Amino acid sequence: MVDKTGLILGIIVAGIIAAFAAVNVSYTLDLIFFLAFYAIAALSLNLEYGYAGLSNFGKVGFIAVGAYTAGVLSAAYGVPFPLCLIAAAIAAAAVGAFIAIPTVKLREDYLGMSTIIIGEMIRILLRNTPTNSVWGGVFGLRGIKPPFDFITNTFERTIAYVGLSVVLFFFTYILLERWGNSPLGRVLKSIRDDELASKSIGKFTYRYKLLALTLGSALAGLAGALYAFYFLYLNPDTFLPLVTFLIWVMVIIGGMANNAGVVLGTAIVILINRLTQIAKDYIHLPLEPNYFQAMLVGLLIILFLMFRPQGLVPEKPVRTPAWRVLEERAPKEIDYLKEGEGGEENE
Amino acid sequence: MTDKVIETKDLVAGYGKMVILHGIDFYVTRQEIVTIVGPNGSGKSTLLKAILGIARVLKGKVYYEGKDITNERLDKISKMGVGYVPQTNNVFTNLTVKENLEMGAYTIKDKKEVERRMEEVLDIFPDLRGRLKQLAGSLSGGERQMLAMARALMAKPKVMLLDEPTAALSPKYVDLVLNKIKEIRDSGVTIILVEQNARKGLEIADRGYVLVTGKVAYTGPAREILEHPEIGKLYLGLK
Amino acid sequence: MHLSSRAKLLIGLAIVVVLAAYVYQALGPSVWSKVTPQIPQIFIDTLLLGNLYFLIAVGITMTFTVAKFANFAHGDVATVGAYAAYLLYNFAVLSGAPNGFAVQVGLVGVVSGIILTLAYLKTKNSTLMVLGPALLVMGAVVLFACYTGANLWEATIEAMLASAVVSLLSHVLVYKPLSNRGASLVQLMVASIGVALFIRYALYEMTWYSRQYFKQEITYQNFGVQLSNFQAWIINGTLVIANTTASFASEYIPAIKIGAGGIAFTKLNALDVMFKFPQPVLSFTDLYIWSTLTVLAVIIGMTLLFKKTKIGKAWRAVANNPVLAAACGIDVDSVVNLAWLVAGALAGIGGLFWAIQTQIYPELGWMILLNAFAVAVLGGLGSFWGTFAASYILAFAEQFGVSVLAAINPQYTGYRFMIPFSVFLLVLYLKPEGLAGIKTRKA
Repeated sequence: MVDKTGLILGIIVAGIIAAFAAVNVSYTLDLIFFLAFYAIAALSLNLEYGYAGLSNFGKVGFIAVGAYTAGVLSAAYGVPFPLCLIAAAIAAAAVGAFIAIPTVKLREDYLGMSTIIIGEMIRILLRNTPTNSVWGGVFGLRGIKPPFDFITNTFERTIAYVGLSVVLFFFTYILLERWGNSPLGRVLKSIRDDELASKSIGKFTYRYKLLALTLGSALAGLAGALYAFYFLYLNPDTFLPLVTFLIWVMVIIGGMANNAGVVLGTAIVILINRLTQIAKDYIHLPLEPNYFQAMLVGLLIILFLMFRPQGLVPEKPVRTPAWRVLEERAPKEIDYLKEGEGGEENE
Repeated sequence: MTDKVIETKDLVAGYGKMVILHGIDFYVTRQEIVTIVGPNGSGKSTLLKAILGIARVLKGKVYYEGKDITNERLDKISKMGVGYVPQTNNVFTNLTVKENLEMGAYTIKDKKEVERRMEEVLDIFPDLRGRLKQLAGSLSGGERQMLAMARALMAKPKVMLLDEPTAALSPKYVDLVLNKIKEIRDSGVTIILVEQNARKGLEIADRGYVLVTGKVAYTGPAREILEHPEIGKLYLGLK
Repeated sequence: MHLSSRAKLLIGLAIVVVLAAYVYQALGPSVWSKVTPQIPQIFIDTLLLGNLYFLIAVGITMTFTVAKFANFAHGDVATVGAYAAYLLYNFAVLSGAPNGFAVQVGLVGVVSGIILTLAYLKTKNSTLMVLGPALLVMGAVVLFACYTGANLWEATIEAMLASAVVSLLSHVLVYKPLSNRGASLVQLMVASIGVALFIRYALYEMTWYSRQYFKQEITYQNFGVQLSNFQAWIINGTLVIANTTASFASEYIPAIKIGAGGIAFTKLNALDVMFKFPQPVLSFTDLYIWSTLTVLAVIIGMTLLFKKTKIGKAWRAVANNPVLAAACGIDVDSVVNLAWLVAGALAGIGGLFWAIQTQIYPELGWMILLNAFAVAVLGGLGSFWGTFAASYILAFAEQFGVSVLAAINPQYTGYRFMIPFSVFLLVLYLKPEGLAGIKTRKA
């Protein structure tokens, strides 16, 4: 069932991670946490952009809202860890809905410009919180209570936490996969492809877009909370707009409206990042590698949009009962339809 | 036969992957009115757009006065003397009527020539004279159609391609527009007319093409098509 | 539940007014007594900030009208211009001799300019037509500055040309091919973000390179232009404006008196001005004057261009209906190129002014861009006069808000960025179509 390109790339990615694990376990754990964190964020963006065509350029802002909600609740009020996760998701969803209500009715530009402004606004607001309060301003937020503190061994505790992150990632993945193939996902896709047409068949496109942006923000908030409890320290300047665009690259490389592709894209981007970090110690170029990486992010966005806009793993037709019946009874026609959808590889 | 102003040979064209025209042979000779009729979605407008390089020509050739203009850029084709009046969005709504006419004469360098040309065009469309300062976006549908044709005439085209000029016009304007088209032809311009209203369109035409699903179903003198017992009934809703 | 947009606007405005009244009451006279005397200064600062916003935002509006998408790389295009000017202004001449590296850069510019111009004569490509001469002039200006010493005029030319070239290239290399491939609006926006990241981090790379190999720090630097300070007082009903920059160097400083008796040039005793004059009502710098003159020139130039010239009318025609414009024989590609070029040039001069007013760093344009977006949306995306009005409205909101914040607690001025963003959010909720929407309703 898996796309050929995707399968090969997936095996390569898994191989690299395994190689890391053989060399250094705690480094690999860190890598896996980042994979889970970014994958949740990328999947949430995929729901918004890939399925509903909404241009959220302020993803990092919603992550920050989740992270700081969880952080403040834990550090100042000692709220237990699971409740913090839920509160983070709700807070981010509320901000998402707040920005979505006036903008999703308008052209895509407005949403793009608004979300990027909101993202920066949140960061600047956090920067300017009083440094002597729990928020910490530019000095950052400290004192988040570590989760799983009943485990005394720190290494085991890390394993437990990374494990939980991976579980939450799988949960998100399955949830979005189900949404994507449900009537909700189909309506979102139809809005993305032709809003007028879906309006004409009686769909309240406004409500669906609002829903997509709110759910996407909730997931971003969840990712933010995971981030907060992993580092137990938050600084406003980690939530730079560049993070948002890193997530965009993951979605664009992976393939929009294809959750598996997006996860693959996440893995590729993060591994490139890690490998260049390692390579930096051995190869000396007359370039500053961090800046060069960011240039590469920009270049990748442009090149992928130009030469492979469908991403590495293209979008698949929605799986519905009717489709399954068609696959069994009329394989030829199905192939034709798939070509129409932009797919190239046979399953 | 050397007098063919525009000719297409085995034209296959469409948008993106979608092919709409499947091999059209078409020509128009000097000072002729040729009307293209056919049911909805038969590719009438696409034929005009393929000639003008707006729709992509996949196979076949388009000639203008014997010169190959297949897939040439629209602004270059119009500089050669081909005027085009689209069906919708056929005026610059944010420009005044006068500015619209000036845009029509964009290719004419001499300012005095532009003014002379404007006088001539305004003589054909006297209704526009009083509205020169008005924004084109504030005109009525019929007035817009007039302005669109006037604008196309400003460049002194040798041939004019009109895409359903009478669509969505009140009956009063339909006859007026068609009369103007005859007038324009009499001043020496070749006309290709795409018309929904088959009877009216063919009545002023010399020859006609009946397009059905991207192919020429019938061609001949306009009168012949009008009087043809079956074609009218089958494709054009004529009685 | 379903309110008409006008009712929504009115209710919203009513809420805003009530809130404003509440804030006015709550803050009390201790705050307002500090703000009121600053009002003239707030207005003149609004003028400067509005000018700076306008020069950036007008380019976003321009490209929006022809390309129909919001260009996220516009801020970074401005940064390029600012850096080009900064480097020329500060490094063309090093310790009295022409900077060898700059001479090389100038030569490369001249040679590549000549090659591209020749290539244009061969191919008649409308991009090369602009690119060749632009590079040629840029190179020539660099060479000229190396041997005669750089001045602000040369720096301005360099800023405008550098930004214009980058803007044009981004269109020709990225946006045009993408839209020819049928890219969606969101994809174009994302692509412009890609361009923005590439430019911004290329500049970061340049600053790193300069630090590493030339031992020269070029981030967070002052531009290095000596601005003159002007101060104004109202004495016995006469407005006195003096150039106070010179007050430490010479005994007398030049001044203008404007009163009922007319305008007179005088000289004031420097010591008097320093010790006996009251607190000035206004104080401003050269930049206030330059930016105002630039904005005036832009407005007059743009009005003449759009209303009187053939190419300007063609520009409006292309913005309105590109297919019809091509049917009129207008070379649409060239007109669109021109729009990108002009937008870039204005961004360059805007970026230069921003850099002079604040500091130069690779993030400069990005920081301005978000404010400029707020301006563009408030102006109604794509409306020239809407953008103009919005620039000064947002600038006023920001300057006034900062004064109030400072009067409450000087630490709160860090929230100044929140002010334009809050206005932006307010507009989004109350009047998403912006100021242009108000105008069209009346028409």
